[in-house]
Order: sequence, then structure tokens, then C-alpha cells
Amino acid sequence: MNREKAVWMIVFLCGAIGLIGRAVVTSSGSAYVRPVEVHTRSKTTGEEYRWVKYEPAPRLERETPGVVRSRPRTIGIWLAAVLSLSALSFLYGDNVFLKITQALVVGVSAGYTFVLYYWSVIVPDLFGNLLSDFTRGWAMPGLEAKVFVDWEQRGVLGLPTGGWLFLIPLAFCVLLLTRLSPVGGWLSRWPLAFFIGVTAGTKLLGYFEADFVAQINNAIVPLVMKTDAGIDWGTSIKNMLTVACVLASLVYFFFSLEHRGALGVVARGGMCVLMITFGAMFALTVMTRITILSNQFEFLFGDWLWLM
Amino acid sequence: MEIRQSVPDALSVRDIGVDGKFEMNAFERLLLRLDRRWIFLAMFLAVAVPLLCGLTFPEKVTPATKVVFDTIEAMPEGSKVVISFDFDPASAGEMAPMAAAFVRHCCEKKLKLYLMTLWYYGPPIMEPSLSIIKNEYPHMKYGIDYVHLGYKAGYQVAIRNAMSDLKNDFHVDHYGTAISQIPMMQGIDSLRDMDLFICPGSGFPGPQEWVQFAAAPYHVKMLIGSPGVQTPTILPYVPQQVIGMIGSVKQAAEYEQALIVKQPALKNRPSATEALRRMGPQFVAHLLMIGLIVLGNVAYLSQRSAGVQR
Amino acid sequence: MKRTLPLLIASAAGLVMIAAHFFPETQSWGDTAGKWFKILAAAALLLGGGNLLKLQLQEIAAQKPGWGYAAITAIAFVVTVTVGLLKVGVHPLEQFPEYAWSGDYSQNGSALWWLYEYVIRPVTTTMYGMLAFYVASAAFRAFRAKNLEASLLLGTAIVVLLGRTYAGEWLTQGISDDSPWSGLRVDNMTSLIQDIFVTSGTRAIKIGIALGVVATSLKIILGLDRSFLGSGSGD
Repeated sequence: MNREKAVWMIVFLCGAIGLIGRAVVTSSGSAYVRPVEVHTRSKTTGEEYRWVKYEPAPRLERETPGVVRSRPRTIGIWLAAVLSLSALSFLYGDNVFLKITQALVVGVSAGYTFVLYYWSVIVPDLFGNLLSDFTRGWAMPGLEAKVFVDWEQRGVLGLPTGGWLFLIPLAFCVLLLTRLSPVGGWLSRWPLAFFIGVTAGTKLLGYFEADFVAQINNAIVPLVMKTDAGIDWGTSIKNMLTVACVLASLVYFFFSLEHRGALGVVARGGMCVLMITFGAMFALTVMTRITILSNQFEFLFGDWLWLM
Repeated sequence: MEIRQSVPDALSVRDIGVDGKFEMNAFERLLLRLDRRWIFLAMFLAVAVPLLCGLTFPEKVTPATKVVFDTIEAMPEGSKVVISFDFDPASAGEMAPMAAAFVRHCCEKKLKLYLMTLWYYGPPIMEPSLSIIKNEYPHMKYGIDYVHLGYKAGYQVAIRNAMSDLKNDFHVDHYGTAISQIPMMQGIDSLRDMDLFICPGSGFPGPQEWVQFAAAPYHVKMLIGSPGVQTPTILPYVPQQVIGMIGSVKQAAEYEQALIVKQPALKNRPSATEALRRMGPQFVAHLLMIGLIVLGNVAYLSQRSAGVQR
Repeated sequence: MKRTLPLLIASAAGLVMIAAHFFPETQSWGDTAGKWFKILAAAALLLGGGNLLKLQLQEIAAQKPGWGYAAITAIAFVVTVTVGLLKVGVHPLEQFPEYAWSGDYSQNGSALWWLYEYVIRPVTTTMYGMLAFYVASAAFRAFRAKNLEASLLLGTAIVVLLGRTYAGEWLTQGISDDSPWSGLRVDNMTSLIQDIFVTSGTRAIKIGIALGVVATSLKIILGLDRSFLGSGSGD
């Protein structure tokens, strides 16, 4: 083992001993909860149900009667701190702890998304429409009952409405699965085409209205602002500059003509406007990143180490 | 001419000839050879020390923030307000204080809140704001004064559907209660029935999609909260499509300050001064950034003026 | 069938969304298409999750270097999906206590909530926050005022960095807001930069992007852009 590794190992060991010692002495890194007993009765069977739910309590209230230390949440805080430090260790260099952290987060994030879409979309929107009574019977009793075929209400092309319409997205979902199959993978193009068609149609309208027509409308401002007292030079100059900057920036993006002569001068002006824009964007990006970092430091110094 | 290998970690990577008369002073040598991990350490200290010392600064409410504040202030009691929490834990540092301030202000004004999210990490993100309502405004009753509509999948299509036909798209609230059973959802056919939209959001789907599919086509009243990095993309919509915007933690701190002026008791509440707390590290870190940019350019310019003679 | 039908589906879907915007009679068609879109998006993500598991298992089976990390990913995925689908630690709804599965899957205190709160949240926050370090390093090593454009970028960055903190206000506090020189206050300069230059620049960028999106969407709806169909292998 070389000297650098030995030094780092000693540093980590001392750090770990210090942290554990501090946790033992001051209980830092602990989470506290307030148990609340829930007592309810079923409206259909009349049977009574009881359970205990745990509401988070701030650490300042830890001496308050009724507030107890939560072992799972305390373990969670320590795990979160270790994972955060593993992620931060990338600043020094790539290492095995970082790779473990990355692998763990990828798996958990993918799993979380899987679960979320199942319970938020597949169950209420697909099962809830196709098998309304079954879904209400086990997972979503609050869902309204849906008829499979509603002959009294007519919809698209005079066809009856009802849950049966959701057989089509179900078929699309099954076709999507063929993507994983070595044979028949071309069938997955049908649901993908639907997906892309809806996205194209929606985005066309959204971008055209808000980002094209509305922006041209917003850019047309009076160049000379008159008030009762005369010309408002401040606003007038601001408006003139705004219009000039928009036009110059647009000219910069016009590549059908070579940027020479007067056009070249205007395009250069547009580039300067864009450079000012990017400079401001850089500063605001720095602001965002520092805020995110300070948020995480608040967790490490506050919730974990109890230093603030 | 024999070429020496490039100076490692050089500020400007150039091969320096053996016969070159490029001479560096100690300062330039330090800058050229500076390991970036020292810069990382400087940034760590710039953020950590102000946090630990509790460094804060007085915030002056700028006209841009005042527009947002006055818009909510002018809403009559009982107005229907949609708040869409469209951000994830990564941007919560900047967005959570904004969202909390919006919720507090709306509760102070006794507005009816319809809370929702278009991001799958949204429901846990909304928990702190729901805690604010439950703990600080216990007079507000669920289903009558506020409702948690939960996560709505579909990105921009979810916004489009909600603006068009809410009843058939939102079957249950986040807690599984049928929409038809919730008193404050009675008579609401679509989000067009709302009086104000507040969208603290970052990324996709977020403020831009709300403008494209709600504000622009339906001309609804909208306020945006966005992180600093996304602020420039929302500015073109202000003030025609969007009445006002809280962009970055600076404006969030100003908004918190405006709320503290209105309700001084909030000054002692940690959850009401998150953005104000985070301006301390901003101050030091920004000065560090400026110092680094200037230092780097000083070294570059001195190199350029000294020149390389071959 | 293999290429024509998907083109027709894409065109029809796009035209339905456009028609729903302009013709009130077709609005319900757009709403229905939107609901199907949501379900399909969810199915695609479920498929993605399954695909991730398949790839990790392949790496483990092939014993490629670093297969241990694939094992960690696979185990983490399976555990998360299991606790989430089974709603481990989730209490039923208080108004429907007899339905054990009626509770919110991400209820505070549940196993899935624990995984989000103590694994996903801290690591994603830390990873995004780490960019602050790299931005600082890049600012020192690469940001050079080599020409007019670079100087404008750096100068604006410095003004906005100052103006967005108390430093800007403090530096120019001697200039009153009522003075004719108030435009030289750093905080006012920052507002002017944002209101005039940043708004104009991003407006121009937005118009350009909008034209691009409209053109691409039209090409897809009219069947002129077939790139989403793939290369055609496996037909």
C-alpha cells in the first residue's frame, strides 16, 4: 500500500470514529417521529380498524413527550449521508464507492418509475376503464363505476362510449412488447407511430401559438412612447433597443445569405446580443448549481451532523 | 526545433520550444499548475462556511418580484388557484422555497388551492407544502379549501387534457377519493374554470409547457416560478402570456422577504426563510467565481503579453 | 403494412390533435387520443424498466468486467418494484380501511417512500450540485476574454453574478435610485440586461426553435419524415 492510500485510509478511519462518537454522544443523525393512532370504521362492513402511523417530528421537539426516535429513518439518514459522500468522492477521483452508488440509484430510480406508472396510470386509467368493478374491488374503491359499453352515449363516428375504447391502448401496449421479440418487432412501430403522431400534433400547435405567433406579437412594441408629459425617452429607448436586438439576433440565424456588408454588420450585432444572453445564462446557471449544492450541504450539516 | 511536451494542466496548452524564452513568475507557475481539486475545495468552503455561520443579507424586493406578490395579493378571497409542482429533488433547493412561499401567500389570502404535479417525483416533493397547510393553517379543510389532485402523467398532453376536460381525465384525487365526491371540485369542468395558475417548475414538462398549452391558447392568468437556469427561456413570455415570474433563488428570497414584511412572525420560522438562508453561500460563491474568472484571465493576458519567441 | 400503416397512424393521430384544437365537435377525439397517449407512455416506461433488468441480467450471465455493478442495479430494481407493487408499509385509506391495497403507494413511512427519501433524493441532489464545482473549475481554466464576443460574455456574467447577490447592491449603494446615473447600479444593470438583451436573444432563439418544431411536426404528419420507422431491418 503506498503512502497516499495509507494517509487517506487513516483520515477516513479517524473521520468514521469521530462521526460515530459524535452520533453516540449527541445522537446526531437521528430522526424523530410522533406515533399517531388511527382508529376508523368501515362504512360497508362496520368493522373497526386500528393502526399506528408515524408523523415526522422536528429534532428540536425530541424531548417532547410522545416523540420517539425512528430507527428506519435514522438508518436512512446515515445511508443518505454515506451515498452523498460517495457521490461527492467523484471530485477527488473515480472509485468503487461511487460506482456502487451509481448502480444503486439507477436500479432504485428505474424501479420507482416502474411502480409509479403502474399505480398512477395503468391501474386507474387502463384497468379502471376496462375492468372497473374489479379495480374498484381491490385497489381503488374511490373510483367511479364505469360501464364497459354505454349504448346511450355516442362518441366518435357514432360509436357507443365506455370502457371498451380502452381495448385499443391495451392492444397498443401489447404490440409495444413485441419490440423485445427478435421476430415481429415491426409491430411495435404502430404504437410508436401513434405516440409520435400525437406528440407532433400537440407540439405543432403549442410551439406555433406560444413560441412563434405570440413572440412576434410580443416583439412589436411602440418605438416612441408618449405620455401626458411628452415623450418617455427611457421606455422609448428601451423599446427601440429591444426591437433592434430581436431583429439582429434573428438576422444572425439567417444563413441563406452570406453575412457580408450591411447584413454582416447586423449579424455581428446579433451575435453580440446572443453573447450577452449566454453570459447571463451562465451566471444564472451558476446560481442554480450553487443553490442545489447548498441544499445538500444543509442536509449533511443539519439533518446528519446537527451542526446547524 | 525540439518540442518539449505540453505543460500539464496548463491554462493554455501550447508546446513550448526548447529555445523559447518564455519565463514565468511564481504566480503564473502556481496558476498554471493549480490542481483543480484546490478549486473544488475553495468552492466547498465558499458554500459550507456561510451556511454554518448562518450568513444572511437583507433583500430588497425588486419590481419583478413585486408584480408576482401584488397579483396574488389582489386575488379576492375564495378565488380558485392551481399550483402545479413541476420539479424534482435535484431542483428542490431552488424551487421548494418558491413553492412554499406561494402556498403560504395563497393560504394567507384564503384562496382555494388545487395542487397537482406533472412530474413523477412530484408527490413527495409536495409533502412540505402540504405540511405547511396542515400545520400553519389548520382552519383550511381538505376538500373544501384545498385538494391534492396528485400526479398526472402525459407531459404536455396532460396539460392539454386538463384544460379541455378535467372531469373525465382526473378520476380520483391523490388519496383515492372520487373527484365527484370532493366539494370544491363541483362545477369544475376544466382548468379553464380556475382564476389563477401558479407553476413553480423546472425542465420538461414545466413552465414552458404551461404557457404553450394553457396561457397562450386560453389566455389564463399565470405566474411562473423557475430556477435560474431556465429563467431566460421564460422571460420572453413576460408580461403578455405570463403576468410575472420568480426566477432563481434571489427572487425567491425577495418573495420570502415580502411575505415577512406582511407577516413578521415568519422571520423565525426556518421553513419560511429557506431562500434567504441560501443567499449567504450565493454571495461568497459568486465572489469566488468572479475571482476565478479574473485570475484565469490575468494569467492568460500576462502569458499573451510575454509572448513565446521561437 | 409494415411501413405504410404506421405512417397513416402517425398522420391520423397528428391530424386528430390539430382538428381537436380548431373544431369543437372533434374535441372529445383529442381528449381520447390524449388518454391513450398517457397509457402508452406508461407502458413504454414499464417496457424500459423491463429492458433495463434484461440488460443487467445479460451482463451478469456473461460475467463481463464490472458485472457486480449490474448485479447491484438488478437487485435494487427488483427490490424497489417488489416493495412498490406490493405496497409494503402502506396503510389503507381511512375511508376504505377494508381495502388493504387502497393506500397511496408513496405514503410517508412506506418502504417505497424510504427508498425515494434516502436513496434517490440525496444522490440526485448531490450529483446535480456537483456541477457547481465543475463550473468553477471551467471558469478558471477555460473562460478567456480572447475577443469581443468572449469579453461580452464574461463581462455580462460578472455583472449578473454580482447583481444577483447583495454584493452588487453594496458596491453601488452610493448611487441613489432617483439619480440619473441609477442605471449604473449593478442591480439595475442586471435588470436591464435581462429585460432587453436576454429577452431579445432568447426570443429570437425561441422563434427559430418554433419554426424547426413546426417544420418537423408537419413533416411527420404529412408522412415526409419516416425516420421514426427505423432502418427497415427485421421487416
